[in-house]
Amino acid sequence: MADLFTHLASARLPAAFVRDRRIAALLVIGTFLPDLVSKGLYWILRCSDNFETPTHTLVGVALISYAASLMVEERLRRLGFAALLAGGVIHIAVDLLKDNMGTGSSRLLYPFSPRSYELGLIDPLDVVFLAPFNIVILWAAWSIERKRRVQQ
Amino acid sequence: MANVTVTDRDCQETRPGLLFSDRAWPLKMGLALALFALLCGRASREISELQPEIEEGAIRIDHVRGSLIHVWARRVLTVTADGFDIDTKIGPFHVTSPFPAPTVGQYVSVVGEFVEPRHLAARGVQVNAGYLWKRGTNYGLSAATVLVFLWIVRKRFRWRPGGGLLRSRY
Repeated sequence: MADLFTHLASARLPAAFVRDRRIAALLVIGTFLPDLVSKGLYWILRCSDNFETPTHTLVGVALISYAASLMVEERLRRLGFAALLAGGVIHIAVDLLKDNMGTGSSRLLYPFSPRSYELGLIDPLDVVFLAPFNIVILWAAWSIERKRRVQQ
Repeated sequence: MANVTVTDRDCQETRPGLLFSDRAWPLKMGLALALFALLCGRASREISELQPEIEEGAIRIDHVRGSLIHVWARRVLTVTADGFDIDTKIGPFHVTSPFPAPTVGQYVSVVGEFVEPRHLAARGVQVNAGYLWKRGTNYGLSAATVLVFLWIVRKRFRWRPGGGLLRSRY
């Protein structure tokens, strides 16, 4: 997994363009969910790596997002689901950048296809070096959000 | 002309539909989680066939011989003439490797195929330099990120299990 600081930065930028701050928060929470669920399954329920596979697939993310959206009040739920799902998709897209030696970092289309995909651009351990870039992205997101709020 | 007032469009409530309504929300959540659990169970069976866990190379080698696996960040226990031994949940596993040998104590990732019980033939080896501090930093940073973010946005929601767990404050 990429660290959740990298995932926060990747979701925070699009979230800065969302007017409703609750939906923006849900978009970011959505990007945390795949790792929170997979680590929960691994550390708490002691499940195998293969059992956790759906946490990083489009269908799995949709199911997790739907379940999570039901915790939000009704009038916010449809948009909340879309935000959580978008966050999850951003998470998978960021994870696709990882280099897993050609074996793939996400079985994106499971259960329709077991094929695993990766772009192989960064060693999963080296994401810690992205922290300075993430800080710049977070600063940019904060600036955009502040400017939009002043304009309103 | 009739005296009619029309509620402003922005103030009109839209029906959320069956999927997103409050009606039987615990049941819908249970169904979603049950479907997710079924998907996980199916993945566990199907993907174990495609890419078994390394431990299966000791338990049922006849079933997994020839399967290609990716083993991530395992500690090197010993270095031998034809490769090295790595640590697994069920003890040492030998890796035959034509690549430059890592040193004892280093962490390595391996792509390889099962050839014998507790024996992999490597097709690729990657030394995970700085595994312990990078992994530790990764987890520490991740936990801090989630906690700090939830603390910051907590004021946008309030805990209300009766009508959906998170009610917005607006």
